[in-house]
Order: sequence, then C-alpha cells, then structure tokens
Amino acid sequence: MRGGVDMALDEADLPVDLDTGWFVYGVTDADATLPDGLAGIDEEPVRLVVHGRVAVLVSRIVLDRPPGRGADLFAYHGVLDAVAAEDVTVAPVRFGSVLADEQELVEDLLAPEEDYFAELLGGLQGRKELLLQGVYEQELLLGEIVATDPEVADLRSRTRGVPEEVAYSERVRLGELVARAVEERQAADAAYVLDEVVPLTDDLVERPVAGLERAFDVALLVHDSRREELEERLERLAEELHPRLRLQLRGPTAPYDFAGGA
Amino acid sequence: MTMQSHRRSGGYLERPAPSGLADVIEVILDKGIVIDAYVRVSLVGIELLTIDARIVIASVDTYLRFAEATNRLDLLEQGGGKPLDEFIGNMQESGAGRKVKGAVSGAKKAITGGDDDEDEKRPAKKSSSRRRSTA
Repeated sequence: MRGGVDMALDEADLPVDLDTGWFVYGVTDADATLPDGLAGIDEEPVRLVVHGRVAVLVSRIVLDRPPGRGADLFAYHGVLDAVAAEDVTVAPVRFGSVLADEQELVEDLLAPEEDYFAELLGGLQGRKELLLQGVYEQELLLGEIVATDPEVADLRSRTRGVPEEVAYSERVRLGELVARAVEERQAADAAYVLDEVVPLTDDLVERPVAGLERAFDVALLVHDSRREELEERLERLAEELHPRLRLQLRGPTAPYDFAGGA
Repeated sequence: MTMQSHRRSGGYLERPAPSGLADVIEVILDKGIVIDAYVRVSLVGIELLTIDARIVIASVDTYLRFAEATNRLDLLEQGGGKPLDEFIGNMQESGAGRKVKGAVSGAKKAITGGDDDEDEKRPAKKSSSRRRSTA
C-alpha cells in the first residue's frame, strides 16, 4: 500500500496553478499491493485511494490538456494489465473518467458503491480476461459459399466482368445471398467453438462481428487455474479448423468486458 | 508493461500481442465501470470513444461489397472439381486483392486525433445525481 509519500512528490512536481484531477483506472481491493513504480498517464505515479473494503487506482492528471491521445490509451491499458499481471483483482473503470479530488473519489464513488464493488471484485478474483477471435480465410469461405449455393454461383457468373450498372439488381441479390450465407456460417462456427470453450469459462461476452473477416469475437472470463486447459483445448480446435478458420487468442488482460460496462 | 503470455511456436492457435492503437482500442472501447457523467470530469473529446465502431447494417452498399468480394474470387468454373486449396494458391500467387475493405474502417481513426476542442469544464462539484448509469 502506498500512502502520502506519492502524494507529496506528486504535488511538488506539478505546477501549482494548473487545475488537476484524478484519473481513475479501476477499482480494486483495499488491501491490494501495486507493482513498484507503477506509472500512468503522463508518467504520473499510480496510487490507491482506499475506502472500507475497496479502493480506486488513480493518478494525477492536468485537466487542461489534449485529451484521449493514443499514449493515454496505452498508459491506461498498461496500468490495468500490469496490475492484473500481478494477480491483483482489478475492475477497470471506463477510460476517460476523472474525478476532481480525493473527497469525490471517496464520497461520490467508493462510499456509495462499496458493496457493489466488493461483490464485483469477488466475482473477478483469480480470473482474467482472454479474447478469442475466429478469423476466416476469405477465399475459402467465399469459395465454399459459391460451391454450395447454386443461386450464388449462377448470379456470380452473370455479374462477373459485367459493368456495375448493367447487372445492378443481380449484384445486390448476390451480395445479399452471400451476406446471409456468411452470417449462417458465423453462427454455426461460433457455436461449434464456444461449445468447447464455455465449460472452462466463468463468463463470456460475445461482441458483434462485421464483414467477411471474422467468424466470432468473444471475451472470456477464465479462472487462472483453468487457463492452461483452455489453451490446450483451443490449440486442438485451431488445428482442426485451420486453414478455413484461424483462431486467435489475446490476453490474459484485465477483465475489461466483465466490469459492468454498457 | 503489458502481460507476457508464453507463445507456443509451431502451434495452430495464434497468440497475437496487442501492439497498435487499434488493438488497444478494441480491447478497451466502451468497457469498464461507468461513472455517471454528473460526477465525472471527462477528459475532453473522450466521447469520441463511444462511437460504435462495430456497426453492420445490411445495406445495399454492404451487399455490393460482398458481391464484389465474391466476384473477385478467382475460382475455376463449377464442375471443375478442383480442391479449394488450389484456388487459394492461385490467389496468393497472383497477388489479387486479398482483403475486402470492411464496412467498419472509419470510426477507429477518430481517437488518434484528439483534436476535438470542445472544452468541458468541471461540473458543479456537488451534483445530486451521480454514479453508474448502467450496471
């Protein structure tokens, strides 16, 4: 736990006439230990403000500054993942949240939500997020659709190499059929993979997929004790499904998708 | 600073490390506990983040893109009975357009600029309504 020392350094470093606030990274347990020298946005030291059983991870931020730069996103992401990597349970707060002072952090955030945060953290304890995506080899996917749907094949032969305005309605119809066929395959492939994955996860968020590239995009909340088994299972699935469908696994990361966001 | 995950070489499961800004945005976009806007002193321009970068609308434009992608395929005519692997080989050799422009390329650019200059000031400090707007 870090106390007043950071504060003192922190305030000494900042020009006194600048309006500053506290950038909020996430919520954690009151007895959490942060990695040494953890620095956040603008390299400001990250510290804990504790209330009851819970605490927030914050760092000083000058309010009159260009907002939301790429470097800020990297810093936010880096802080949360560094904390999670130390097996500290952390529930991310949405990027861009700044409170005016310590009193607000306690009175407006921690005190009224202590029970909620404690319960949320309890459900996240010992768990991390993994991101799993299925990525199609497009030519194989489209080739498969052309080969299995006679109407698609017919429309394709009638619209291919023809100026756009000539076969416009056929072209739209072709695209509609292909889009529908892609959606069917996305649903079927997602179901196939997730059936294998779900028993090893505590929670799962499916994100919408767009276009032709991805079959599915899911965030998984996985207990540390089951991660290895999950990875082995995914490796077997990846071998089975390639090259038509490639499996990509990112993480572990802090549980961004399981912290009660919209 | 980011977590290292062991990467098995030669495996089929791909383990891409998040590297670019787009990757990070994809991980954190619209995520996390929401602190009510009345309490929060938002960083200016952050609302850009809430642009939904994942819209798919079944529009004529989308259909035309799908049709175009299908027609760009270099398949042999039906009945040729060639395995698909061979078609792929052809595609790669000819260097034909392998990527179909997604329906959703634009929105993610918004965040990099940070040049939105609307200047939100701190709201009245003791606002009566507060906290998470969604659970």
